[in-house]
Amino acid sequence: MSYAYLFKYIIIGDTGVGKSCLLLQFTDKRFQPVHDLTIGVEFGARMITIDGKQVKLQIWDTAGQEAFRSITRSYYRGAAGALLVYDITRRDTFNHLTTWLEDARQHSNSNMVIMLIGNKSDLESRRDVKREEGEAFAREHGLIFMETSAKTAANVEEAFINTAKEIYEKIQEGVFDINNEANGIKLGPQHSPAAAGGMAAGGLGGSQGGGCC
Amino acid sequence: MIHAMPLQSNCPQPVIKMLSSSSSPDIEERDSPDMDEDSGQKQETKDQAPDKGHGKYMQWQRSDSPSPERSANGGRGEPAGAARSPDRSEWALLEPAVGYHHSRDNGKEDSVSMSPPAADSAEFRPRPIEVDLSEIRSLRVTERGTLCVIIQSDGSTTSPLRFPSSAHMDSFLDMVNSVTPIVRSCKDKALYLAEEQSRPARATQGTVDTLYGFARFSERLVGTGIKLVRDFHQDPRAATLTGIGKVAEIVLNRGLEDHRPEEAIADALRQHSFELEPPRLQSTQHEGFEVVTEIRLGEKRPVARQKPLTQQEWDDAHDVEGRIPDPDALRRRIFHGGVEPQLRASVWPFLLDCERPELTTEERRAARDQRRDDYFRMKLQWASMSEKQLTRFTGLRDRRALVEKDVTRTDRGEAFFSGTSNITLLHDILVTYCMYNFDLGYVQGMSDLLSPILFVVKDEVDAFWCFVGFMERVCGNFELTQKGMEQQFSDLHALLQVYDPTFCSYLDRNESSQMSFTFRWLLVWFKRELDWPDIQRLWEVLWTGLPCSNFVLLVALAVLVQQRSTIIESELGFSAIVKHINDLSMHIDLESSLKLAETIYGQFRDGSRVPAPVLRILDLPVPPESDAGSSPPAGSVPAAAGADPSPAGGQRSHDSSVSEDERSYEIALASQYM
Repeated sequence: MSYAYLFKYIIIGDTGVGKSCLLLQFTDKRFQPVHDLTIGVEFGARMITIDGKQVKLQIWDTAGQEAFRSITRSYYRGAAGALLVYDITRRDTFNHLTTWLEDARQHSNSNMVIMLIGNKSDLESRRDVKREEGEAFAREHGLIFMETSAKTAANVEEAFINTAKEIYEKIQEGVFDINNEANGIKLGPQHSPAAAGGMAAGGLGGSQGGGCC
Repeated sequence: MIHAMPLQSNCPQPVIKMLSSSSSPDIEERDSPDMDEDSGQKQETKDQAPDKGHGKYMQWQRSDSPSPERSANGGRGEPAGAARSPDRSEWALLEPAVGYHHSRDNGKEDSVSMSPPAADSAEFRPRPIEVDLSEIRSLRVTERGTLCVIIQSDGSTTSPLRFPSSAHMDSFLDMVNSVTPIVRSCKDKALYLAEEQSRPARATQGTVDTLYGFARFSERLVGTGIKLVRDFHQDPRAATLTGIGKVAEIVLNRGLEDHRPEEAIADALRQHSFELEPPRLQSTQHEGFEVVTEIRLGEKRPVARQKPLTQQEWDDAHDVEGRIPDPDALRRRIFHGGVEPQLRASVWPFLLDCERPELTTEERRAARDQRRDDYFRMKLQWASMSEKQLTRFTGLRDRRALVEKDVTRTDRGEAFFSGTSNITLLHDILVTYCMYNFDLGYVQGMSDLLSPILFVVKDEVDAFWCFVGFMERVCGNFELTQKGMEQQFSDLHALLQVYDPTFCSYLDRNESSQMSFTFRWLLVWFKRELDWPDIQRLWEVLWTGLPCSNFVLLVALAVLVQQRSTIIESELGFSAIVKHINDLSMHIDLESSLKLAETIYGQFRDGSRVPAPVLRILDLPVPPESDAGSSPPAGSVPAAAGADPSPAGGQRSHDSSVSEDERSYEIALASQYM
């Protein structure tokens, strides 16, 4: 009985907006400004608890440069959630959101939950994109929105976890077919499809073990 | 296998913890007392229960990592182990040598790939490897039963875990078996597969204990294992420690037994396995009918690698005036053995077409002066631009900005690039390359290709021109359209389809026919997969252009087919394949992969009815009537060596006459790769 669900996430956005740093902050709770740039895809994972259930997030961290869009497209396959990241100190990274969103919508399953993230909120003095603009973009495109700082960890937990909650709600509503892995959701190893709906973590105490909240 | 990080001392040692965590959040904050001393093996104490759900976890901690606390403790003269760290947020990489790739995290689960800290690595603590037992798909046991890699259902693949002896391994496998039943693969003896109820029964009907020989082995151990598990629920720490003590004891006793039940079982199994070579079929569509021909590959001939090129040999390759009269012979020599490290600064410019072999020492000096002038002229073009000018030159400004960002995240784990001066050189060379080739500009990955060159040749101008030579070969990888990469994926697929149709069809069925999981391998020629010395060796071999300009694809094929049974028998799907391939980083044995790649080349060369498009990928001569399926001339020679400067991802036609046959053959080529 390790986890009830596994969600696949993908982190996308222009190069240098802090995708890898967000991931590291979320999985390791540390900020590492100096790390090698991402080529192709890197992975992270963490267990969280939602509604008393253990959920494992498997996170795909992608490279952001334009030339690699086509390879990144191949990673959307089977993602249940996407974090679309821009840098609030660089307007061009905000301007490119539309093309990222088009890509994401086109190459993922239609139920994929997309969280828009304005990262580097600690750099208020260098802000180039107003929070309201991010909010407006999110509203217009039906995304969840948050400003985060991978450096101070502000909102990082929330960004990943709120996305998971959204996915979880969709599962509850029956929007996601959990038996189809193409949706980016997998049942835990010991959770048979039949058992998953009703039994949850029943019978085993201490299911509050998530490192998140 | 891992050069910067010798296995013997660095692999996690078999300190096995099984943790049953019904943990509450605050356990993570708990500080535990230090370790016990009661077992025969070294123990490391886990300082926190993992923050997970329920389940059985195994955990390894490194026993070699520097830890002041442990050293102070003495720890029985063993290398210090994973330290308890008051600030657990700062856990270190499991593999400091790795650079960008890395590691198992602390309280969470699984791995995250990240770079190591550049400077203050001392602050970071190694993290344990943790494996959720219910997630195990398979275990690969190699090196005479002393090395084990665990593959989990999401494709996560642990670093090799080194055991002192096969007896330790046996007891470890027994322990795993007692919790998660495992069976030995009948197709690949090195592989043990987890039997899950949810998954269909394996190829044979044998049950867990008969297959593994577990029951015959030791009743006592079973008892121990079960007790161990039960006790974990009550007191994980104590149970672990005493449990391991018992296992150690049994191992000792077991040493006296002279029969090895597993062997007997394995033999029995071998008799039952029907290892037939699948036919390699090629079908050609004609009007109204289909011609199916069988492709035969040549014999699999092992090749030997040579010692690296020495100073003496290099000197002897020059005539009195400094020319290299037989550059092809020199390339062949380098292809077979590489170059001694201290010679690289002289040899690489030759391999990268920056030094021309037909020039005398005198002429070479003049050419070098010319290159110097050319370089600084181009450098001045951007270096002399005013800020104002740049604001109206976005094409350059953006590229400069990106280069600036990227050079600070290139190989910072290497001492050579930890300061600022060499980072500045990386920057200047890359921006100058933008001026040299403005149409291509700067694309991520290029800094990875430049850094080893700069490290070796040290000189800014030489490094630039060597880099130009390298880019000539790989510029197709960096086109905006990514056509070069796609061509290579499709070429690699075509090679695999002929070489190992079973594996190829498995990948096709698992949404992996695009081969995009090899993206990083091919984009930067394994830069992220091999350690610093190995990458230099691989590149100098590949730069010879021998035996074909696309040899990197054969290296990729060689590395890939070594994973075939792991991938197939662990039933990895699309995501898990990507993850597994990513996790191979720093665990690829270069020399054996080079040998296998060369062997495979020979098999294609000596084969019959190999489809023409595949022959073309390898620069092999295409017999005139090959489309009709006849065999190529016997003993056809390797395509000529040399200096084919065409980029690896060049435009090469690849038609569809390669077999599209999707039949799956249950077969074991596996034994070939063990």
